[in-house]
Amino acid sequence: MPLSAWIMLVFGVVVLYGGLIYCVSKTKRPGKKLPSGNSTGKSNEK
Amino acid sequence: MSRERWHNRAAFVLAAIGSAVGLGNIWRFPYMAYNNGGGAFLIPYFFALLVIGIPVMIIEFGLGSKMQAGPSFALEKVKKGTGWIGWGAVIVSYLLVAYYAIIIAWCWVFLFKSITVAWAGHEKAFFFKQILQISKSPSSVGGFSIPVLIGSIITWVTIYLIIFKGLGPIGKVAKVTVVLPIILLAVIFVRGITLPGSIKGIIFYLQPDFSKLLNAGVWISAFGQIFFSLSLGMGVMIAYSSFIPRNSDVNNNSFITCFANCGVSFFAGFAVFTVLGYLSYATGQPFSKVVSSGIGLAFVVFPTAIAKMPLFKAGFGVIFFLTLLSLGINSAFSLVEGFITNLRDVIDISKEKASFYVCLGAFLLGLIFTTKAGLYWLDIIDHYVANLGMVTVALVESILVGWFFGVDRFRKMVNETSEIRLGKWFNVVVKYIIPITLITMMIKYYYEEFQKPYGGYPVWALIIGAGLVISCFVISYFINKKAVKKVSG
Repeated sequence: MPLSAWIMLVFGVVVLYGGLIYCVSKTKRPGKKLPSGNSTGKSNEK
Repeated sequence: MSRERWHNRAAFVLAAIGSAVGLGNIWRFPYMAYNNGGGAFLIPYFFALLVIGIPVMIIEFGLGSKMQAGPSFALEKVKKGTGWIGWGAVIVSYLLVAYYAIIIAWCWVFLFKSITVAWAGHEKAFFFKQILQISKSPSSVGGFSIPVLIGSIITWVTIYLIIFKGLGPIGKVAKVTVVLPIILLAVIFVRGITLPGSIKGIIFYLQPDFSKLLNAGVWISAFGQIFFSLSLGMGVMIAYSSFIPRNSDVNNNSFITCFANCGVSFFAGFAVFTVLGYLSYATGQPFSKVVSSGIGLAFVVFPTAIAKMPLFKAGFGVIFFLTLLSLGINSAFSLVEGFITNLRDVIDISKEKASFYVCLGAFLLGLIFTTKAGLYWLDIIDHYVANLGMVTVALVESILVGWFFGVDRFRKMVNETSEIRLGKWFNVVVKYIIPITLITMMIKYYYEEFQKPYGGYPVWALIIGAGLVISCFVISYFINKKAVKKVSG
């Protein structure tokens, strides 16, 4: 594969997956319960 | 009445990613990249992600979570009398899901037919003549295509079973339908890379042609690709975020959703282009002759490649169509959920009943697309839904937030509860860059529209297609008027 294609591969990986990993790392305890309100996930049927 | 809530943040983010990641990630992005400078396309693509994708996502997540309302009431709270745009978004999305479900129906048919690789040797005729039984023009409706009709019934029953019990099951299903296609894409990629010619495909995908970056059309294509692939301007993201508490993160959730969506697109390109590289090798045709996008890629070109594979044809077919199916169903039920959210903000109806009537209505609406002229109508209406519907909605949203609600006020509001703080760049983007970009996209669209009739279809058919989308907004105006009266009175 030509060098220019390798460079774009690295660019895509760093920017897109690096960005994603950075943002996920900034989350405070991912998956924790939401702060307030009905968190049962059940609908409030009327 | 208190609002329904997601189980946790992960459920919300996964559901939003599931909504954003759809069939376009597989069949549109790789072709766009190939056609617009290969690897060089990643530069305008990433730029578009930063200046339009993420900011519009922040606007939609912010409106939903801070206003604690579906699209119409969220916009109504920003500026009185604008709720009809929210209704317009969900009604247009309803029209969209009616035909999107038909594409999923085709996936069901191909999934079952994969077991015997029934299309081998006559791929084009198999799809157009045997499955679609396509007629000669949009006016020759000519009865239903039974396989597509059965596929449509299976699709709507599946969507109903996922959504009728509320957000709990939706969150659980999203976990599967987001992760599963990524695993399946990895399997496709691993199988693809072991085939001869696959590296050539990857080179075509990645090798940059930087001269293309001087072409304005490439940048507009990148903006369009980002915009249409993130489920923006459909009301879904506002609806989904209305089920997270007001004090939830907005900015980081938007960043994660957008990066995940684009990451899947980038990865899907490798899976698709390794197989296309093999097809070029196996048929002896130049790469430019085998590469395609959209329906042609999924239902003609890929089946051709599958039929030519030396081993595991049936297994590969099942994996490929299962990938499309899981990507499609995720986006489809999110569109239905957006419509139901808006409906239940106004009408006192249980989730089960609302789900039943909405699914039944969409199935009936979609019957036209199961006819022998269905593909023509699907193509025509899709053209107007994207260009007239979604772009208009997002344009109005950004103008409302930027110029009426106050972008500084909005930025402070979302920053208060978010892990990533937005700087003043956000003000410039929302007030100027997003409206200018979307208006440019619209001008390009109208210019091309009046140059020649779209797809060579008869003018009367195009007028019906455009009229249908415009009438969604007209209906929205009257529905909103009644809804506001009902809620306030």
